[in-house]
Amino acid sequence: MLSSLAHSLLCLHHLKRNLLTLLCLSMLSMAAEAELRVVIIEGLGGEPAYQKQFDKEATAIQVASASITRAEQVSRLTGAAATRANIMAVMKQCASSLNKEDRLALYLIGHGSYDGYTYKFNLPGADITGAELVSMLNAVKADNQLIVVTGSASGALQVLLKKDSRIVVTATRNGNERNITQFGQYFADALMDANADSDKNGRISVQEALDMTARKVKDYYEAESRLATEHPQLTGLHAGVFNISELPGEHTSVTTANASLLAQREQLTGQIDELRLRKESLAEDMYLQQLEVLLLQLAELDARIDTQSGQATTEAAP
Amino acid sequence: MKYTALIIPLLLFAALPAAARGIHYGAVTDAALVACDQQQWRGQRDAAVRCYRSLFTATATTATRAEVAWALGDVKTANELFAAAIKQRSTPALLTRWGELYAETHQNAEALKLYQEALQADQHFAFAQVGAASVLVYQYAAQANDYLQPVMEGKDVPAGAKLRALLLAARVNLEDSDTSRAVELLKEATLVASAAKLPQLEIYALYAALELLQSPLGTDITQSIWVKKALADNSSYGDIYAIPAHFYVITRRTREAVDLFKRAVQIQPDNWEARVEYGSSLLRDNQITAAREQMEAAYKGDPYNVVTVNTLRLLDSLKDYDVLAYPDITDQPGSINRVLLDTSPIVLRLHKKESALLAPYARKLTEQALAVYSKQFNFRLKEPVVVEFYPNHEDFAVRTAGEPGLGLLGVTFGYVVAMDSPSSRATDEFHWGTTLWHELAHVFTLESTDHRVPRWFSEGVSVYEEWNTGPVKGISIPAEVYAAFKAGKALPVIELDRGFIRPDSPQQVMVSYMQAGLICQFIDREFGAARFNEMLAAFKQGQDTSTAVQAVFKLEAKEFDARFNEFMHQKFNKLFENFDAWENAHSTMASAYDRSDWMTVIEAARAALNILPNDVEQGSPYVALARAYNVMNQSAQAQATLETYFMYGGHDAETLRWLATRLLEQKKYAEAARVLDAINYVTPFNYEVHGQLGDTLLILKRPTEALTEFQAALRLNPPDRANAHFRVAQALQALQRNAEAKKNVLMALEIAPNFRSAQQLLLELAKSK
Repeated sequence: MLSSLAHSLLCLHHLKRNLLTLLCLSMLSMAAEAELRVVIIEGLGGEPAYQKQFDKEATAIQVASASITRAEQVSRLTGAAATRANIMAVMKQCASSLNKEDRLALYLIGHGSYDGYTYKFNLPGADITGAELVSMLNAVKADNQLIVVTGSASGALQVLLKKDSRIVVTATRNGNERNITQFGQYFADALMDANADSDKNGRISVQEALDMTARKVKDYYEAESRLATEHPQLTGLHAGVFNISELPGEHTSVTTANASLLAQREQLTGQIDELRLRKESLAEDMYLQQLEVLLLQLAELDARIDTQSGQATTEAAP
Repeated sequence: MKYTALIIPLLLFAALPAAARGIHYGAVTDAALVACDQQQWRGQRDAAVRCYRSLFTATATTATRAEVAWALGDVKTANELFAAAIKQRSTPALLTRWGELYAETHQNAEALKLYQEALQADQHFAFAQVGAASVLVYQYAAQANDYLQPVMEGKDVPAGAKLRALLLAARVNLEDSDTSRAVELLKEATLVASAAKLPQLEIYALYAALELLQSPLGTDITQSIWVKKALADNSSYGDIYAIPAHFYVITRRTREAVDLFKRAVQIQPDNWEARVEYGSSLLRDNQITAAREQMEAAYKGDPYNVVTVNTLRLLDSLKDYDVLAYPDITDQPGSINRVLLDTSPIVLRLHKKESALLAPYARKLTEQALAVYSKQFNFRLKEPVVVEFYPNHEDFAVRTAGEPGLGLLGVTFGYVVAMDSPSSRATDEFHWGTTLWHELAHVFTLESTDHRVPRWFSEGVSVYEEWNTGPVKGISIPAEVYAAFKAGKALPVIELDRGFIRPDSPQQVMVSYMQAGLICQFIDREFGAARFNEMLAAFKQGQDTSTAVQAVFKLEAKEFDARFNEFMHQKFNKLFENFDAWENAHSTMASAYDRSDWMTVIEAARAALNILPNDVEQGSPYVALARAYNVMNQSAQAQATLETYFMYGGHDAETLRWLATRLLEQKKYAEAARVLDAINYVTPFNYEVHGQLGDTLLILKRPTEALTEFQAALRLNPPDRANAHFRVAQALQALQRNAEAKKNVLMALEIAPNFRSAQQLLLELAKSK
């Protein structure tokens, strides 16, 4: 998809300094945006207020996921059903049904604990351990995996789950941050927040959701004049192109426009990205002049594409 | 447990030299030592030093050698020798003298423990009682009195201890403006000193202070009989100026204090305490470079004073601050150019990390306040007003008092206002706009009276202005203050300063603030706000509260109090009569809220508001009521509730955001803009609020203000930078600043090339070339 291509090139820009450009090329394989399977697990709240909060977050994630994948691809385990056995059953089903090119997103919403050796996600009955999560995810063939863990001590999973093709998002930076987290509510909100869509492509990527969440968490602790007891973390290479929700009325994917226009757009976008890569080597005036020429062409082209596809430029300023 | 064993290491590592050894008034009895001391007290310093050195022999007692080492400025050796002497034979007198050494090296807690250890050995040891009182007097007045009273009233008390007690009591009464009692005590002190042939230098200094406080401005202190007497006894007695200067400091007459401290260190260069006070006063007068010079000199002489160390650290940190002048005047950190301009110039000193963001808001509010107050007080400022914001509260505390742990939010030293930055506290802890408004009123009440306004009236006017002209209008009083008023804890007007300077409890300070504000409200309602200026004029002439009240209102102070009490009862009668019901309604509401029993919340909140409709403090019934209505899908009632809350001055940021969102949904843009603008004076660090307000202002065709908001949002580095640049571009386009608009829209599209709204704007801008 075009938006994915743009993402890939943007990533090229970000990673240039690290000489990791080859890795970004591999992201092009995601351009087709394979089927996304979503599993949402709502852990044990312990107190009614937390259970209510987890419900709200799980619902928001479920709704957001349904905006980008078929509803039947979204599973949610909640309340008494969110047992270790049921989770294992769902993950076993994922392992058997998903292919290498598919995508899996697993959300764990709830409290966690870490005793210095073992991470546990709190469930009714027996908890599920970090090692069990590793085992379940490793059994899934889908190359592109996302796991988001919103609760306390979740950072303990970063080392356990680390894998290049797997994006691991946790509310805390390690297992020692054990206080109640604010992360979950902000992450769930970010999935349908136009302000999180920093590249204005109508979709929220994992990176965009995390960026918004991290900022909200930071602002929360600053506003409260409290020492931050959670520091969101992300590892994995594809966060900028792994889209997890689509904003309403923001479909920029064009299927009815003339193929040559689309090709022109890809070419122009590529030129813009190439210019951005050279930004530091150009005088500001020169850079802006060249950027303006390209952006004007792109604006005119996008207007023609929108007209052809019968789509008004509906994306509103947030 | 004895404290002696623990204390030894504390001073062993102290550096030389150190604080001067004060007059001991007979606490030391070694005749040879006293002979040296007398030379010292007469200002014969070289002779005294020779005398002390001659005593530091192997045959002298350890205690005497400790005193000599101290007198020669070697406090480390003095400490070791006191420890050794006490190890040989501990006496109350030795423990007390050791305590004095600690007190003079600014270690009051340790000093107090030694005094108390002395009193365990002899509970009537008067010098230890006075020592303990001296340490406690600025902390817990009642406890200090417990120590002081037996010495003042005892019959067999040593004359020196009695004299010290009388001097301490006189000083405290002078600080409390009870001059007649202070005079009585000084007379008694003179009798005691004369009879026992004790030095009278401190008596002279307190008389000089008293005389100066009662004299017209510009009085030349060098002509004072008391100064002449003191200098005749000891030509290098710096405290003859430093002690009166202290009274200028506490009555906020900074510049006069600077002059006196300068004289003090001129005649006694090693009066380190005076030099620190000199430096602090220079700092309050914004003479930063000169302040640093004095502090550095003081540090070399007395490195134990935490005020010196803290202040030097603060001065070092000022390089991290921007100094912004409006309108532009030449200004360098450390020397404000005192150019007189037609408008009231202002200078902002803001930390670099937040100056760009805060400056527009601090400037706007300061300019508004100066305009309102110039008219209100019919007073034209003679110098630029300097406003400083400290993102670290402890830096503000050091700026104000030289030490951390200060409970204030802001302070005014004449033309200099220093306060906590909004970033220094949690969002719901204070309303920075109101604090600034409050402090700026002090600039006028202080300067229009040559700093002679009593504390209560200055605070009262500032609180009154908060309520009547400030960014959040409406009388806002914490619940505990109402309870105190109901319990009759208001002070008579002539004693109200005591509530600020020497409160009986921490709560009394807040009660006094509110009482002072209500007195001004009472004056406004009963006599008209024009009387404020008459009161200020009376204070400028040097009248005390009682005389000023009589002159302005033709009432005795007691009659004034009676009329004020009547006003209070009329105003709060419903609350006072239903106080228990009000408290019950509050607690019912709070517990119902916790268990989401919304019907009960509605009932209880309404009952509470029926008794006290302007209750917008933290935990306000309005907020709970609105939440309950909202949960029960009665959003119109929720909105109406919060509109009333806002009208009364409610400013909880989250609550106001909910209200603003509702108003925007209803396209009530002007109302929404007012609400969103109000949030900025609670928390200016929310990029979403700035963006929302900017959008609203653009709709209202107020692009200049919109641009300020959008630029603030951008400075906060929001996650959605493309939209932030786009918004700035929109405002610039509305202001026909198309070149800047285009640059910003390009920056937006650089981040998000397919951002349709930005593309449209770029196309428009390209066409408009």
